[in-house]
Amino acid sequence: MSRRGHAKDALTATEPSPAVAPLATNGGTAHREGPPDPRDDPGTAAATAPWDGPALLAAVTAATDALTANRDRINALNVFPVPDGDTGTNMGLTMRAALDEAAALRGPAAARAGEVAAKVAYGALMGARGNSGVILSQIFRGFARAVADEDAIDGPALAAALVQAREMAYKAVMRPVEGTMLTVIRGAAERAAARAAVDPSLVGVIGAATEGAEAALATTPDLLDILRQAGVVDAGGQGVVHILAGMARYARGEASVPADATGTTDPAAVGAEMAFLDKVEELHGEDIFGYCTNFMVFGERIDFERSRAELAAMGESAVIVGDDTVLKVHIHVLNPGMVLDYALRLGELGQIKIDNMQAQTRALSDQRGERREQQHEQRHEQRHEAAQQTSAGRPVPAVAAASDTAAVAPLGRQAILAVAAGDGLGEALRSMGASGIIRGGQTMNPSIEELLDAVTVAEQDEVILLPNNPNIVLTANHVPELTSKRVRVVPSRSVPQGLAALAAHQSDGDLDANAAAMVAALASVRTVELTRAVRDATINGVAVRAGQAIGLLDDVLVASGDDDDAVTGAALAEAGLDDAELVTVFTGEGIAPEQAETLRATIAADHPGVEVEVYAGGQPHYRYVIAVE
Amino acid sequence: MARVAIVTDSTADLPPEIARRAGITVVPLNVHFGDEVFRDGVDLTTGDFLRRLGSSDRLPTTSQPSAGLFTETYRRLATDHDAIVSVHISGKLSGTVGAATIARDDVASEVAVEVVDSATASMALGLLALRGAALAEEGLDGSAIAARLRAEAPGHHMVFFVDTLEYLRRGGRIGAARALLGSILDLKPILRVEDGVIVPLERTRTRVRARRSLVGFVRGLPTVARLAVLHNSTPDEARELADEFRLIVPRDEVLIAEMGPVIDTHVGPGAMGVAVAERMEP
Repeated sequence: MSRRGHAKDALTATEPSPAVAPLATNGGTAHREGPPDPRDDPGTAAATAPWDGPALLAAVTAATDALTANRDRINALNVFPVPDGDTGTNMGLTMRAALDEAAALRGPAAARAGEVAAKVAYGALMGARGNSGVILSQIFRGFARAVADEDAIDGPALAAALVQAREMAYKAVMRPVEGTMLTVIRGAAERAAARAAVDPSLVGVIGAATEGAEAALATTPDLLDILRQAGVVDAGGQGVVHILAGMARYARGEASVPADATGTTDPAAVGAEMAFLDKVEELHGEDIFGYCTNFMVFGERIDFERSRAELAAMGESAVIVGDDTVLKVHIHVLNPGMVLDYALRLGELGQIKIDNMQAQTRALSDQRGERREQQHEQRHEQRHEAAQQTSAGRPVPAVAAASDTAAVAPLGRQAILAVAAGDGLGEALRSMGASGIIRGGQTMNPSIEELLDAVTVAEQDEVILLPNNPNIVLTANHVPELTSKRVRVVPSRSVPQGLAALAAHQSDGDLDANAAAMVAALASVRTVELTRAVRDATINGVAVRAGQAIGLLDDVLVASGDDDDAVTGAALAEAGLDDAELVTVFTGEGIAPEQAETLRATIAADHPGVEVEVYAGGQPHYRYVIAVE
Repeated sequence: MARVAIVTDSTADLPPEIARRAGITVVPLNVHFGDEVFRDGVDLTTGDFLRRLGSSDRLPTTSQPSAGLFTETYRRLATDHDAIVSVHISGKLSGTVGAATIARDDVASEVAVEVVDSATASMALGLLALRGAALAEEGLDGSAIAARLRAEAPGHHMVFFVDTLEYLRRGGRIGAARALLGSILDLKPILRVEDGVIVPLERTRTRVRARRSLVGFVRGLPTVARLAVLHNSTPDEARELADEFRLIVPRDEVLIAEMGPVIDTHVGPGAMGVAVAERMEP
């Protein structure tokens, strides 16, 4: 299967960001004027005052509001018009986590901008979801570092903070690729710095930053070929624009307003950043040699920059993050002992993991959450509970499964954790042997942290992860690096694939044999999905209008029309029903299994050799998720 | 030369003709439909059983043979045998071994009886009993045969699938397969008798896949000496499956057998399985 022909793959392989739209629509951000020029509006006294702690909190709140207000709209804007996981949601949740952390600050510290920024950065790091969230967290990390000693932030300080944010964002990946969020934060930082030199007002600087970001966003298709091919701009970059615009609104003394009324929410300008992230993964995989060496260093007054440079010089593919108290090191070296010797001089070592790279390198582009997790586990859990966004999969003891519930004990030696949205899909996965269900999927991508939590609480030391979504596969791929448990990711792209993989799991098999069998089983099932187009589009030569039914076969749009059943039938026909043995239809949220009866009867009549089963899947957005085996 | 009698029970699902030719004595368990009691395979065939099951509103239950029946059997065999090896269904699934052990002690002064817990059931037990008969034919004495059977029992596998878990659940023999209950999917789970209990091996959702899994299990074994396809109501499917096995196992060593009423009570109509004996050192 070609990558390009694969809509979800090509567009959203790494990041839940099918949030892309044609540049041509509505003129797009690229062709629009920037926000009202602050020079035309000198602003109020409040607007010109430097941001102290509470003001910075308010600015971040406004940024979060701006992003959140546009979230659904961005999510709905896909080059591939399916309601799916998305950059908007991930960045929004990352911002929300940042804001919650900062809002909890009390006492004199809350008055200081530097302290508030530090909390924002910490919250963003812990809540980082998806690749865009991880990079966003690095932007805030740089910002926070720059203003650490500031009680209040004025225009020049803000410009300096954006410059540092840019540097940190570029450092988050070893081989930065232009045409991404990085380009956009760079545009913001450059324009902000230039403006600060001639106009030190806060309003002027943040306004300039927004303009710079928008201008840079418009260039992303020129810089990254896949964006040009898709005719879109970078989605993560669009998120950065919203965040800066929200801050600018606050600086001008304007209230947060609904998405549609703001000047910065043009739907045209959203894009796909996965191309960039894909490349990071691919590049990382090129220099397979020696030992993939991972460890952490806990010390005091570590000279971060120097250590980073010296360590990086020892090998290839170095990803080294941290600060003066902790380093997280990932590097490919011929002699791991040499690196560890060096690191020992910096402090105590932890979480040492060394893999001889034969078959694969594990991409670890920018993970650093688990260090904080250990240090702040308790607080983090409280926050998690408060957020109630997820229920990590809990292993179900065999005894508990005796009741006639959907609780089913894990099969054998391995815990199998599967991602699913919809109670019915979760139960189906449990029925086939999944020991835990992690909430998420097409509209809610779990964070690395959530996947990691589920792995941590699993009873077994061997864990198999089933992401069941193309947008979660890469997130899942980071998990093995972050735990001492033996974790294998079986890159299932749909729940039907997850079910097929589970069927290949043998209770008495060993981890690698099972993982290999499960990977092989992925190809044994085809996935047909029926949903509705969220906007007009022409994909793969199939034209659809917003609201029309669209049928997908293994993520590729194959049918559209006004009649659900007809579209489903057409998509199933593409799936080659004559060779099928079993067709399992999972009905979506709010759709009773009886409603699929016509479909069942039609398939059974046309293909007498095929068994058809219908279950309530409960998944959002997708009327039917169908496994053809 | 010492003559050793081989005794097993009706859960071995040995086709009567094969048992007769091998000289194996089969002690029946009992099937109860309400107040009516039938001796497994003696006054109730698989066909009778399934017809009754279809028309009865109460599900049948089963019970082990009485110790008295074993005593009687051993005494009868003692008249023309020097020793008896009595090999039975897993003690974790039935009290049959217990009844045989009581009988062994009762007749201790008359004849030496070795009771062997096969830790399996159905034709896996049947194949073990056949192995015992072959060893008796070779002239081994009772304790030597018992020792060999105990050593070889782990090489006798019973793998099967059920059309529904309901019968296993009601019969209480579900073991670790309990974990499969409550599935929202219509599973055809692959189960295995292992260490005397029923454990889930794989989850499949169609009979075609389930049969494929049975073949896969056999292919995964290093050697196969003998194999039996088990069914209770699907003779055509059983023949097809046997033909598949004949591609990988010597033709004459592939048998087809019906699961008898006692086994059927616990697995339900539509169950199928395969019993395999691995090749052991001579």
